[in-house]
Amino acid sequence: MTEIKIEKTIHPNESELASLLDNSLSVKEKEGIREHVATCDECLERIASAHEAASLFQKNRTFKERENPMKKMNLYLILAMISFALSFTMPRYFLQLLVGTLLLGIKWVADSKSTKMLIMIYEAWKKGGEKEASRILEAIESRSKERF
Amino acid sequence: MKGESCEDDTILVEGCIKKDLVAWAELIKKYSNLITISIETRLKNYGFSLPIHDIQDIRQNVLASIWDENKLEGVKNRKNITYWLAIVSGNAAIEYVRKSRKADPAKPISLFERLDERRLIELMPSAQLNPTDELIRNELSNKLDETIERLPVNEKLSLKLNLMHDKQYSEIAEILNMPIGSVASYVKRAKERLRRALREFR
Repeated sequence: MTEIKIEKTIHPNESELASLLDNSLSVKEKEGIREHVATCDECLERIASAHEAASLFQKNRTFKERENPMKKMNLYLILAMISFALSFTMPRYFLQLLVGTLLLGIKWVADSKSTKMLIMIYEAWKKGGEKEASRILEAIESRSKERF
Repeated sequence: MKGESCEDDTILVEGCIKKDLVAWAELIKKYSNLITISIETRLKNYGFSLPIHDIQDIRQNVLASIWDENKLEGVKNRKNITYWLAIVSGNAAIEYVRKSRKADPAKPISLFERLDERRLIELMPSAQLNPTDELIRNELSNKLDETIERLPVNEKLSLKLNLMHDKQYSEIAEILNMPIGSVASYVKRAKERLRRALREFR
């Protein structure tokens, strides 16, 4: 990497400021940009705000990742339980509600990731035997690694 | 923030540079929220608050400028574009205010003007001095600026982030990529130097 010499009036570009934050600069580059930022309140403001925003974004994302899958997964289970409870309180529709409970229960089981994967592998095994199944498994593995 | 966002964006960024629409859709899905947060944060720090349709306009501008000018090509660290995108979005927000309101949202340059009363009294060597007195304010402001200018780089950065941007030691450590202990001692040392320089006001 080439050494960056920054004069007070020339601001580092967005990529250089971002690299200062994520610590991906060489020692000399870091020194040069730090020296500038220490005397330039505008650039200091940029990195301080960017850090604040990135931290907020990360917090939101972690919260969503923790919350959402659980809610979605448990929705069918909750509905199945409600339907099951109602089947006792409303004897006239006992059979209908029981069928509803069963369908919602199946949906809950089928919606889970591991069940989906098992179904895919079973389908592949039925069509192309063991080779096809292992090919699908490899594809799933590599896709999960390459996910953005 | 550090260590949590370890997802590698390289493939995503390279896809976007090649104008791959799937990669673009993924980028928008993944970072749309970050762009909005960055715009709002930067505006808030400048004392501005814009209605939601203006924020959406700025977000559109950010994405359009990245697409049109292929800005991602100039990104050094493609593994993680979070900070880059946050800075680009913040800059776009300020530019938008400048253009639409024909106002310059520049903050006061002097550290003195940006310090709140509580912080100022903390640095004052004598409790009997009143920083609201106009004459004392001017002299104090000049002295503070002079002293801060002479501070070593790391002390200056740590002190400014602590006093002007209200950052805690852990946040400063993340921003400057330093251990918290070092940040604490830089801030302490810098404040001590300021107090020493302000002693003549007794």
